Amino acid sequence: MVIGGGHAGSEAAWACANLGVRVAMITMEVDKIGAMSCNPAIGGLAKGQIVREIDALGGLMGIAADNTGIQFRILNASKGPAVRGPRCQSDKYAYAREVQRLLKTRSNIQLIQGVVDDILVEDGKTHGVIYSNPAQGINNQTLNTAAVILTTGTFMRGLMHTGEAKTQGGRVDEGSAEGISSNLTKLGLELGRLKTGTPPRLAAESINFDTLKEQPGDEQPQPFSDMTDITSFPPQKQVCCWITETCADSHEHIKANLDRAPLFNGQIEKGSVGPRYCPSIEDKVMRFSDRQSHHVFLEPESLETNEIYCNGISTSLPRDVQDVIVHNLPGCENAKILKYGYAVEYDMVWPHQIDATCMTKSIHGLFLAGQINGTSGYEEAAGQGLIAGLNAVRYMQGKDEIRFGRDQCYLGVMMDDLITKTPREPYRMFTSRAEFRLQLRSDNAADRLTPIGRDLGLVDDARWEHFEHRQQTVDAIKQTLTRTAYQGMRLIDWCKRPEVNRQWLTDRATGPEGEIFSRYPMLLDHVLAEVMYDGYLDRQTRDIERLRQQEKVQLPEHFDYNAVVGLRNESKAVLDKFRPRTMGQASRLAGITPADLMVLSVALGRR
Amino acid sequence: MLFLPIMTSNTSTIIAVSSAPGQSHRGLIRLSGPQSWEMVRTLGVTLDHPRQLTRAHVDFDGRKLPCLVLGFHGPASYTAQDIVELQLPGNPSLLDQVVHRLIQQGARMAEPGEFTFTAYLAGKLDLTQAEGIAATIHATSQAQLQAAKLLRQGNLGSFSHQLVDALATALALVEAGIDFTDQEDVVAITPAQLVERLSDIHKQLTDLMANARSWGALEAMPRVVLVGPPSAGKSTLFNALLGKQRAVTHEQAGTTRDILAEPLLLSRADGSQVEVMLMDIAGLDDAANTLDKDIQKAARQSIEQADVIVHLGQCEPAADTIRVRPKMDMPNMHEASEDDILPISAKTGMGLPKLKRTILARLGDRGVSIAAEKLALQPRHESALKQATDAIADALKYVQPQVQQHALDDLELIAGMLRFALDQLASLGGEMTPDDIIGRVFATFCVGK
Repeated sequence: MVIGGGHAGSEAAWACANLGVRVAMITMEVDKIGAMSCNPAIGGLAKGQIVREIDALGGLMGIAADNTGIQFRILNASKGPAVRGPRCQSDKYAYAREVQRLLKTRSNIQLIQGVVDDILVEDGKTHGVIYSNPAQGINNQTLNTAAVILTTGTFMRGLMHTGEAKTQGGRVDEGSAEGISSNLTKLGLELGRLKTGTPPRLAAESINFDTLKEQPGDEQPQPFSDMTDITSFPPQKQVCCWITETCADSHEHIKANLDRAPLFNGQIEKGSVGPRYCPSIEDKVMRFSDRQSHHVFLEPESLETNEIYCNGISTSLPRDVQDVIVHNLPGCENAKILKYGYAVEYDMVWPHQIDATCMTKSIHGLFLAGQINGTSGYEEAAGQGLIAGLNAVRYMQGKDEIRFGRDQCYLGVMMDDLITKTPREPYRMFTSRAEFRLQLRSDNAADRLTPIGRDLGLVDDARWEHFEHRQQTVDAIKQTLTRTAYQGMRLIDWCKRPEVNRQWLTDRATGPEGEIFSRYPMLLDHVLAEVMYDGYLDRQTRDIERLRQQEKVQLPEHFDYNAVVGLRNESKAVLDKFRPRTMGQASRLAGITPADLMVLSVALGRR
Repeated sequence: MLFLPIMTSNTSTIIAVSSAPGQSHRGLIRLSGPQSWEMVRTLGVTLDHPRQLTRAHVDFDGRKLPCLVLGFHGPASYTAQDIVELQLPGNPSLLDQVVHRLIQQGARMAEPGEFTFTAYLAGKLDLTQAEGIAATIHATSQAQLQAAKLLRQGNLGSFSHQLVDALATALALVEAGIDFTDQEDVVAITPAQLVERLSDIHKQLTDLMANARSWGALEAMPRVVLVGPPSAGKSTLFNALLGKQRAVTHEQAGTTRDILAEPLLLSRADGSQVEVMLMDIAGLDDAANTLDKDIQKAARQSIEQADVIVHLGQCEPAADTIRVRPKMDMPNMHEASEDDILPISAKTGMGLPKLKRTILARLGDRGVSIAAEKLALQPRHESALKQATDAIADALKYVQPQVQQHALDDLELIAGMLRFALDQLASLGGEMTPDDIIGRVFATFCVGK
């Protein structure tokens, strides 16, 4: 049973369906499944890698993004392959429709419209949910299930703010889920509150784009999904974005009206934390008061409508202040605001209460994914949805749980960070969070995860066949590089030089043997990345080996840390709060020393 | 990143000075792990047969130092791994240097209690011994945490804190160029600026190491040991002589009973200074259990190695013993009858200057004058500093050819080297997590669309 139809819920239901079980998705509005609440874009730095990982595990996000993207761009294209992040601008309506279409291709997914108010738990185990849909005359109906995946997004006690105006709801013109919070508290879960914001949307015809700098996509767009047919890619018409900027006058006006900003005047619950990496314009103006202007990216939200997203001025300020900010933007002097920006605050569950499988530690069969775990971003949510779906099915089938390692994928880094650290703000992935960043690249996501996904049952025959063909092609490229010489040196040795790139190689392998280079440019890039990082990867092998050994040592679910002789009191408190499931998780808790781990091993060995 | 050391025991070789600290006839260095034989051979030591105590030589800066070497093959050894024990002349700084040479060969400093723990995991110890191990690890690690805390609070602390801070800032600037390129007008740091920052950090680190001396050398200072029955006021006197709160009260009686040691500066009449190691032996006469036996043994060893004993109770007069009568501030105390018993009060300070002068007199020429105050480093800290310095040197080699460029190339590789250096310094100046680094970026740049 999946509750919620956002990016976490959709990916969770998709994974469950691919594993062959029957799954029901209960969501407040079935036709909002897969909606892009904020920025109509998928991927980006570190996030693009996550999308590639989801795809390598048979997920739907990459496919949906490829089919509905209206601008594809590799961020950090001039930098090393480990830190390049594929990103696309999506047609947000087409994207949601595509997610819905894909879900409907699975006959074992049932979509149910309604609001879940309670999760039924007995003896520490989930056995069902209670939901209502007054419009259909359904009140407090019980649905039985052994596993529930809860993906509440911003809807759990969601409250939107635009200036003094407050509206209950998780998204404009939509409701909120009020009952579930108190029921989670009753189940013993500790809740927190986070906030985020979104900018105003403008009418395209009211903007004078002629004066603005264009930001086009890549000349040769690259898809996210390995399953996307490159010959007919991209299927959608490609558009460009524009750059404009705020000015000092606007900044002054914001400062003058700061007492009307819910983010600053205390209207938003004290303790609600917003993201530092995606600050509201009022936040930017206050924190960087010396800056005279901030970039604003004007991004089309759809090919079908005139909506333009103002990336860079997310705000909770009143409408009249938003009018001034927008009209002061060059090109937007006469812009018509279609939807005003707003801030939204919502309940979440502190993530130390879940395991890396997304299952809550205290309630068997209850899985949490997405913003409820304190993350932000579609990609982060979708990744958790996949992990929750996978583990929910395994839980019901009595199979062992799957935790991805920090050395395997960004998904593993994210889950591990969530459960071993105390978040200070909505969690967003950055490449710098991954200590094995050089290994976790978008070009090798399939190598890292598709074989695992195949073993787990997530990867179907078509994708597996494609993967095997990919491996054969990579081998053929490597052979060509080894056999072909230029100026007396093998091409594979040339690859170690910094000036050698895909184009360089293609230019020098002009014979028939070089045809493979121009035919598979992305795979040639992949081989180049492997060669480039080869020496650096060796150094990390030992660290990775240690990490894996530690992850193998499982810690018992019910363990009295206070009874361990020789453990420091502060360590006891940390271990008791986080209740790590593996020795590796324990080692990454703040304040835990190697000596603590040894003492713990002694105590465990004695049991 | 923190690793449970033992989980790696199949692959890594651990090393520690296993003899009692300080100046003694022989020093014992012990290695355990698959490379231990091989590593010792890199010192020029001939090692052919297991279980034969053999005379050999260590090649050291062109000199040949005599040593005794004893090797074991696993699993027939204490830890069930290959083990080598090297017996060298008991000069602490020499032992440290040998340990460093072996760390360069890939050995890793053993964690507190790790040899015993390895033996336990290998099934070499029975269950009743396990509890003792947990307590030993706890006690040793508490002592080490104390030492690390001292480093952080003292001179090295503020210094290393600055270093960690500077390095974290440099790393944050490099990471900003990777993770936050939404604002394309921002070049977080140019190659030339990074070279400047890193050169400065590198210089500070090398200066620090040049001015530091090893913990072992520190422990080789003349030893002044406080002896007496429980509650005689040893710890109070210890703190009073140092002029600061150093001896800690134990949260749980019977667990932490390490020997407290702290350098104490004494001034001669001519103004020159002498540094001694002041030691407080806690729990010497407390009720015994298996653990306490070891600690009592250590305490007795300390007394045997003492240069001067300050005795706070009834005892026979001896050449190296200063007898004091403490707690003279208590109302029921009165002047001691015997002339050579020094009345003191740690509380009021009465008699303390005289006690210091008496200690100096008893030391005679054993007191070593010191020219400048140096920082004391524990072997693990020294090893961490060295590795951090090397990593920064590597990063510099990478950035220097780029100084003419506007923006940095290979940011992710440079960031990797700086991250490694920062992790090494964590034990000296506090941990710096990736989230802390990201926080620095947010504080410096307006990032995010």
